[in-house]
Amino acid sequence: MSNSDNHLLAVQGLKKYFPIKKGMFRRTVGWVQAVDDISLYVSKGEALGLVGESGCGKSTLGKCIVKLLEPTEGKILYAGEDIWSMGSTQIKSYRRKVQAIFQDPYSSLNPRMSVGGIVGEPLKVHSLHTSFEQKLKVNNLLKKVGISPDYTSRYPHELSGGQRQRIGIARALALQPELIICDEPVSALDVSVQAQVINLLDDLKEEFKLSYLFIAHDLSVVEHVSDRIAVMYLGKIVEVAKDTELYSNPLHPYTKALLSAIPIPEPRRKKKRTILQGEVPSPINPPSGCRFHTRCPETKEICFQNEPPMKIMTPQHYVACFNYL
Amino acid sequence: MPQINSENKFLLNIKNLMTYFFIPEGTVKAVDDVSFHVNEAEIVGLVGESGCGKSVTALSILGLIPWPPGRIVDGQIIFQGEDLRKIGPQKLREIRGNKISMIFQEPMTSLNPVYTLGRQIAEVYIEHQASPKKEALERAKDMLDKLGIPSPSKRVYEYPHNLSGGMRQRVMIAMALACNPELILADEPTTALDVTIQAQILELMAELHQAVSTSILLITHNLGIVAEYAQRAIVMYSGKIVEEALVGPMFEEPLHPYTIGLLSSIPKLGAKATGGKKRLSEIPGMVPNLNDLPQGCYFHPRCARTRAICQSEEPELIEIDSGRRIACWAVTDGWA
Repeated sequence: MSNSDNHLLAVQGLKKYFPIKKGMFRRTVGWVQAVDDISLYVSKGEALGLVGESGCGKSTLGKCIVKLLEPTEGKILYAGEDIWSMGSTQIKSYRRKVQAIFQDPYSSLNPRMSVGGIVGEPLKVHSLHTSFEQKLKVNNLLKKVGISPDYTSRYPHELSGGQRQRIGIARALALQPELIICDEPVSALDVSVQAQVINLLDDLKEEFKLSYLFIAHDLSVVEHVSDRIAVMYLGKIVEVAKDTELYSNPLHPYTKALLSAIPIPEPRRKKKRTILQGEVPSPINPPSGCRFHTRCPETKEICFQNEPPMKIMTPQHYVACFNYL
Repeated sequence: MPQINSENKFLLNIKNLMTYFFIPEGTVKAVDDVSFHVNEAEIVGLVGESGCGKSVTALSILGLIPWPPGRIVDGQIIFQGEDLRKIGPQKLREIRGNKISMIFQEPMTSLNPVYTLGRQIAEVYIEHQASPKKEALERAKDMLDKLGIPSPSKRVYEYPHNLSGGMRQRVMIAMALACNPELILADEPTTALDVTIQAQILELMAELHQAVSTSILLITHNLGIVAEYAQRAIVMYSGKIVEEALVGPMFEEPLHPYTIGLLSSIPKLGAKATGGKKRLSEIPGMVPNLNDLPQGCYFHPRCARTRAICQSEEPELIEIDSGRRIACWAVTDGWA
């Protein structure tokens, strides 16, 4: 795509298929095409939002990037280097630079470890400091995320959901990463706490010049946090645009439907709603041609047979739809 | 025995409802002195964050609070002129699912996994309208058809696990609507669903509301849903109602600091395109623990307008305008 020099992370033609095994000999009878030929990039200091409904493969993509899953095909380049052909020292440094924050603050913290232990563990694993320095560092990190250092000896069950999410963020920050993969970081939180965590993520991005890959299903949250947004549907990216552009000039019918489906807390603003018929098809046997054609209000004949290629509308706005070819 | 007096014109009138849970750590006042009403053919939105008592209110209406540990301690739940707390279990059973029905949040856990869908929907007809089995199954098919479930005569023989989340929620709605109830308590009916499916379900509920003029008590944490579908909104915080108003005034001119805080803490779609990136305003702190509530107004530790009186005395819910009630010292005493 565009000048690739300042791309911190570049995903090229990534595919991740999960085998479906059946029968006595666990033969592979089919594949779940969770992520199917995805290309995207995240520049330095940029927050790229990734939205889509459940099962569209957005979390699988995130897991491939943090090396929790090995992709079936395709490349993930970090600062120009393929993360799957790195040597062990390089991998260690990659793991330091790329961190993750997960959705469920209840299951992503070890209940047997104290807050200090959780936040300090990355420092220990990478043996970066003396134990005294580590303690100071942990206290600083906790302060950064708005938690009093008195909490170091407490355990996760003593904390509220919002506080736990802050601990998760502090842990991700411990190694001074460059890129953080945020997988639904606020969707388990209450509205008033959600705003606190979003603001915290915004502030940290400014302060530490972080890049985010912000994965979420809530388009209004994604729009708020991200500089650019990619919309995913059934393992594919259907549209990528700048945040304001995606809202003011959505091109793909799926993006339009997503935008119109969100209830807005302004009773006077009556909007015309496009209600999509049907449901997201299964990624085991995705529809032929354009994957969205089964629900698309603007289907043409060609959509049934051919897959639409990604078209560059403007340098920052790509869309995969036959309407624009 | 419907009597004609001013208060009985409401379909549902809840007066001073108190539902407490008695646990070893102390008494949890999940619903504390809550009064509100639902008119006929009206959608009322009940909003609040988790633990504010909105679901417990709905469960109290149907007498579904598990004892121990929970119990309705006091109050009246007047439905069509009769106090549901006094009519006895037999009559309450006749009302449940028949005149008042409920849609729960998690359709997977509220459907029975070992019975077919047809049987579960037909049960409602058999139980409440003494339909013969065969006829009940036919009516179940009709109902599924009405709710836009494809090939209903095949679906009735399927099990809940065969369906997607959206379809299960449609089945739940089919069960809730089976007897043409006067009131539906919808407890977070779309929270577990994707946005496009959520839009389908909400649109469906709005259509049904139009067609059969059922009243709906719509319980949700999503302010957008209330703004678009309800006529009146009630905001709860820590077991109490803090503000009530018609949807228009509530969203355009909220009065309670909590309502104001909630509304300004949600990111608004398109806000960046129209006004540049703004920082979200946040409500500091967190929802207090229900068994360790602060003195005075429960919201005062998080409120920007707190004065001495807020810390010592609880504000009463006062009607300041017709249909508009608020519990806040700053508003009722007219602080600048």
